[in-house]
Amino acid sequence: MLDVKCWTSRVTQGDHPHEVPDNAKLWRRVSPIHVASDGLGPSSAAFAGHSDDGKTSVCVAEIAGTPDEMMEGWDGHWLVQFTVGDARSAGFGIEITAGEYEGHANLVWGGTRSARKRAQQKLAEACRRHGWIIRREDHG
Amino acid sequence: MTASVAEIHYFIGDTLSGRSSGVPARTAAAGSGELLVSQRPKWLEAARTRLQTFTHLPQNWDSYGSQPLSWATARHAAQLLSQLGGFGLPAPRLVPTAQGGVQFEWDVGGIQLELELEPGGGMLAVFDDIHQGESWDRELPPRDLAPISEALSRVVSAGRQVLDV
Repeated sequence: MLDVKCWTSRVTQGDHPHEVPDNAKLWRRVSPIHVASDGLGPSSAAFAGHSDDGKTSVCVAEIAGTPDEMMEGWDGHWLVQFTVGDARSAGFGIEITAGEYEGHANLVWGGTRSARKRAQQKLAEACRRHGWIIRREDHG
Repeated sequence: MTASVAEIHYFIGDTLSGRSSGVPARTAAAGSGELLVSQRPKWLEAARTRLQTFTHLPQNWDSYGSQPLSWATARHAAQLLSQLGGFGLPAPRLVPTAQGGVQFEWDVGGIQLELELEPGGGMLAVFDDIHQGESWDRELPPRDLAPISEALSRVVSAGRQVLDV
């Protein structure tokens, strides 16, 4: 079990990003339209940043509740899992946020747009290794 | 800018039919991967239909606040689709992006190419050739596929090899 309290209580906006352990698991909902054609993983497009700030929303699994809670209100969406280490090795930073809901975090990017696209591919590959947390029957 | 669904459909349909885009019967891409192709692929109609569905997506379709494809980006995407349709490529997978763009994906015979059209018309490409161990990512100017002509050529070749097996 992660010592979540030690970093969630103080870490905001990337002040102490390395205090988030590499083995912390992250979840992200995936629209069925972003499930890869073979159904085995998400498209890299599933990890694009928000149009406002370029940040990619994720949830820290250990403090986000259950997968079903994470998916409440989003029938038909899928749920993927990867680790903080996966995100860091792809080149993303992570910032724990205080808003929205418990366990919410953002993946942040500081490089070029095309390099980010490559990083999104690496996240998609990591999700294939970890497998789906929630898998639906149909995808787009 | 806003437009009715009917207007968007009309524009996309008209663009892909070649009437407004002026798509040539033969399309050439400069560079070592020059491609000359003479006819429209069978997948173009299905791709057009899928592209249209992206303009119908509801607000917040991905649960992270994304918007449906805008009229302006749908126009750019339709034009790009027409360009790509002239290269002899296998069918791409089309997915919308959170920023309001469209991503074209190919994964065939060890060749992977992702081409993202951004809302402003710029493009991003990520390429992998597993056989030759070649990987790169780059940004492209609007409407200019010449910098990735070699990559497109390899996707075409890989697609043909798969069909021949």
